[in-house]
Amino acid sequence: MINFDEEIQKFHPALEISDVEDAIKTENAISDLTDLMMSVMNSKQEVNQTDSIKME
Amino acid sequence: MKCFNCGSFLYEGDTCNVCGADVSMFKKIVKESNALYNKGLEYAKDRNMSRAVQCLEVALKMYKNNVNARNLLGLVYYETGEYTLALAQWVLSKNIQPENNLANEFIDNFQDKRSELDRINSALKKYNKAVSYAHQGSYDLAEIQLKKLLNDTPNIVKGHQLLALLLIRKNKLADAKVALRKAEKIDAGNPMTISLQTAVMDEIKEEEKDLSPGEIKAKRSAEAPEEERAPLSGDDVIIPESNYKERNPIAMAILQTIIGVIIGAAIVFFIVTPAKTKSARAELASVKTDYENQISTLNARIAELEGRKETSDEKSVTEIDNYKNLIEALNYFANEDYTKGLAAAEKIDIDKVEDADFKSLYENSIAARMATLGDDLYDQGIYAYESGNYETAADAFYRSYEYNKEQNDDSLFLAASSYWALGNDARARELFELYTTEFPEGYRIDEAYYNLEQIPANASGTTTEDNAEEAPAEEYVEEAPAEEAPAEEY
Repeated sequence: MINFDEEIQKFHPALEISDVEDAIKTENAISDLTDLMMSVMNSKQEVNQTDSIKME
Repeated sequence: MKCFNCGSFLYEGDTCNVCGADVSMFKKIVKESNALYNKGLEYAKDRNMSRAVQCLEVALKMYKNNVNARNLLGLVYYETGEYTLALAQWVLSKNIQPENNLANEFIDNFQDKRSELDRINSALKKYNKAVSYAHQGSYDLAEIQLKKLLNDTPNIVKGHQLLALLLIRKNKLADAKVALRKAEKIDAGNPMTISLQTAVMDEIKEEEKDLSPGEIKAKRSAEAPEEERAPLSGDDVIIPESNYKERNPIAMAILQTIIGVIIGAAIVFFIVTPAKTKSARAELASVKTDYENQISTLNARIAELEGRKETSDEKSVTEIDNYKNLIEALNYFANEDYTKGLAAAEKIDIDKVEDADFKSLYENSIAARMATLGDDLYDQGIYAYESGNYETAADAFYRSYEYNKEQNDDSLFLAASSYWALGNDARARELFELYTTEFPEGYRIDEAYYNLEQIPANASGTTTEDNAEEAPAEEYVEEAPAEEAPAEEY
């Protein structure tokens, strides 16, 4: 049996065309695996640089 | 594929040729993203939009510059009624790859068709209003709003689902089932649609549990969905049922063909044929004019030739007559019948003769003879005049003058005198005047003028024996022959 009140809360207002700018910003802000990989590589470089300074 | 680090093109190998970055992992990520895109595409083809969205979103989380995945995700959003999300995906896709991108076409469709954009915006507003009504507990208003919305924009999946939920609440399970079926047609794998469908089927089974198959059938037919009919609005017009029945289509087709043929024939008869007839008439008139011109030319030619023929005939006749008269004259002269010979010679029209031989013969035989005869006639005239036979004298003198006009001025004078003596004053005056004209230096010119003064200007041509004897000219005529030596000889 369906719980109507519970189900009705699952429906949210749709984004209107005027909200497209916000939608684009939100979507563009999402980072992907390449971003993560870049971040990892940058962190790795920083660690390597710190180690070399300490060695010196 | 471009390097994630420096943006240069990548070739085979695990390192970037430009920046030297390790791209092995990156290549694997892109490959996996593309695999997910392909999977999403397969789901989209099966109209399992929810699963397609899942795959494509993961593909973009792996590699957000996957333009194909982004375009397809936008298309899937558009198909399920998520217009704003669709537009956002396409705008991002265009930003990643401005040229040679399908997203450009999709965006242009949005921007070019202002009415389409307005329709979508209006649909989204209606949906949001319906959601708002539902949240506020105004379920009937929400239902009406959703029915309007889905009538205009039938591919909003969330609209069908919300409507189904409202119908389930009112226990209109058959209608809810129809609404969910429509949602399923747009997105076959939507979890909420499946969930609601399961719930509806459970409810229906529960209700029909205690009923016989006949009752179930009757119940289902009674609950036959009114779903297909669009909700009425204030602007709708209700058209009463008509008794009109579609006629037999074959008969209608035949009738229409016949009418078409008749119209075609009428067009040919009234438009095409007159035009052709007019053209043919114009051509005929042109040909007729040509023939008439040719006929008139030929007629003119015929007339000219006939004229030539007549002239030629006349000429031939004249020539033949001249030859005849020449032969006749020569014959009479040979027989010494000079009177008849001269009469025949006089008939010859020497001016119209072109033959040199004829002319030569005429000059040598006839003309010379006529000159001689002029002298003979002069002598005859003198003899007749002296005998008082003025009539014979007048004739002889005049003929003498005729035969040798240049030399016989005396013949002409005496001919005039003879006529005067005969009382033929008019003829006498005529010949005296001729004398003064032809021989102005003749030795009888003074006498001629004198005689002309004597003859009345309105002289008549009456001839009497008496006045012939009393003619004043007689005095001169009496004297004249006396002076002429040849006359005395006669």
